[in-house]
Amino acid sequence: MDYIALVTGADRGLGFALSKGLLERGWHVFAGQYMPEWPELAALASQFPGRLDIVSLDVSSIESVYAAAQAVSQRTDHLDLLISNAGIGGGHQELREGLDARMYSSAAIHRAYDVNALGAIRMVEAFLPLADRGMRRLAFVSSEAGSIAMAHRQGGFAYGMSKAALNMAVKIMFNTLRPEGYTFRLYYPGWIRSYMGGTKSTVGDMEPDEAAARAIPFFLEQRDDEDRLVMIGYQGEEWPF
Amino acid sequence: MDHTGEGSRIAFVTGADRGLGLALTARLMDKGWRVFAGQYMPDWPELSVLMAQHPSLTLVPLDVSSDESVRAAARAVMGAVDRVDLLVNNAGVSSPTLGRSIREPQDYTEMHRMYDVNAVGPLRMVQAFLPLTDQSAMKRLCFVSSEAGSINCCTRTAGYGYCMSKTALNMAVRMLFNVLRPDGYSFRVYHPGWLRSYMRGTKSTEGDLEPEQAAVPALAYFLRDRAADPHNPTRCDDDRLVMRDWQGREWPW
Repeated sequence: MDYIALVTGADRGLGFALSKGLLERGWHVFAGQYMPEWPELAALASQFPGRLDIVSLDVSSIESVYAAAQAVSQRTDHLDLLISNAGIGGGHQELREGLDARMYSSAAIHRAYDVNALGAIRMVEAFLPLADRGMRRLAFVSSEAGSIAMAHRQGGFAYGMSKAALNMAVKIMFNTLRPEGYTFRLYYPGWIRSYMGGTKSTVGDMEPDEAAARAIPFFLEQRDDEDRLVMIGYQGEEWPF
Repeated sequence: MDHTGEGSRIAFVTGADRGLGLALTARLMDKGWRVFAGQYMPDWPELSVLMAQHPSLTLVPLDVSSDESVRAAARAVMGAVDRVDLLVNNAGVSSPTLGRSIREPQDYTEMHRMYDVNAVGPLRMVQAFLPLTDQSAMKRLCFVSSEAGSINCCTRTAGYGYCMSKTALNMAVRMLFNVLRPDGYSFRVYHPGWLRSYMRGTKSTEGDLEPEQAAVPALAYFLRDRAADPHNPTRCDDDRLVMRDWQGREWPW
């Protein structure tokens, strides 16, 4: 039987690379598509006929998430791995430039929260029935920017707050679902030359494919201690909350 | 050094209509502070009663979830005084939908609301009041947070919106600390205990503390300078950001 994964934010960047990496490992992948005009997913589907299903998905909309769950449940009776990867940057707010400065608004703070934190909750809420019948592995792409203990930045409130909130949400899910046999992967994938700012970044330590090559083993392998929720980074290091 | 009893000290308290905010406001005035009280509920009588008793109290309309309301409040205070020494970010909301587990449909509208008031509200306040707090020698920024925001200590299986809002608040304060500590600001992130307050809309009968009781250790902590770590006198809370509770215990993030 195929192992089946769903990846949110699979249009490009890390999500696309995760989808490709899983397909190369023989998995069946449901790829959450937010940007139908972006061509890469369609091209990937033709490289892996019958094993990549593209599903329309906007994690900031509960209707879209439930519709995606419905669409997926037409084609499979279970999900083994749910990867909440869809995420956005929040703009670069500087405190002394002001909340109402050109680059900085409460709206940006709420949007980042909606996608990065609430999006992950919507996904687990809607896909739990499918996940219950599979391997029960839930993976979340977080960030060192969400570590309060290590927080060093002086700007970019929206993103840091949204990733800290995501980490809290995952902890509460862990408290509920770990006793039911779920295992969790809360992950900092590194600084990736991806599209978080809207266009392909020229700065960063890794291409998306390199990041996915590290992330996928972490998502798939067994861990010694599943009974403690930790955020692990791309070099295997633990990040404090 | 302690700043009690000095009549020249000026404070702003958000969410002062009732509960902990009202109690902190009353206590500050008893200590001789001039207080600007953020009023969200003009129909709630207690603040007006307090104002009748205390000429040093000024009511300022304030909805911390509104950029415009926060800016207007800052302008109102700037029209009256040249500085604010103590900013108490107390306004906070909870939700009756809080008890839902992940196997139940969540209320995402309520989650946004709690985030807006509890996490973004204090950020709006600090930003808007910078011109006033920059003029102060004390520069004390206080945030009523909660153990519910501690990821490390969280054993809850519900309460996503409230917990995330307090975690995000803690992160926002950590970043504010990074920016403002070099400018001489000091911070108090506080878990006040489990209060019989109005967070869900009506006065709770559950809880360990009445607001008036909770205000005593809260204000002592907010006003104490260079709050020492009671377990290690060589460490000072002002130089590293910590969350402490009403019994002086430190909470991990």
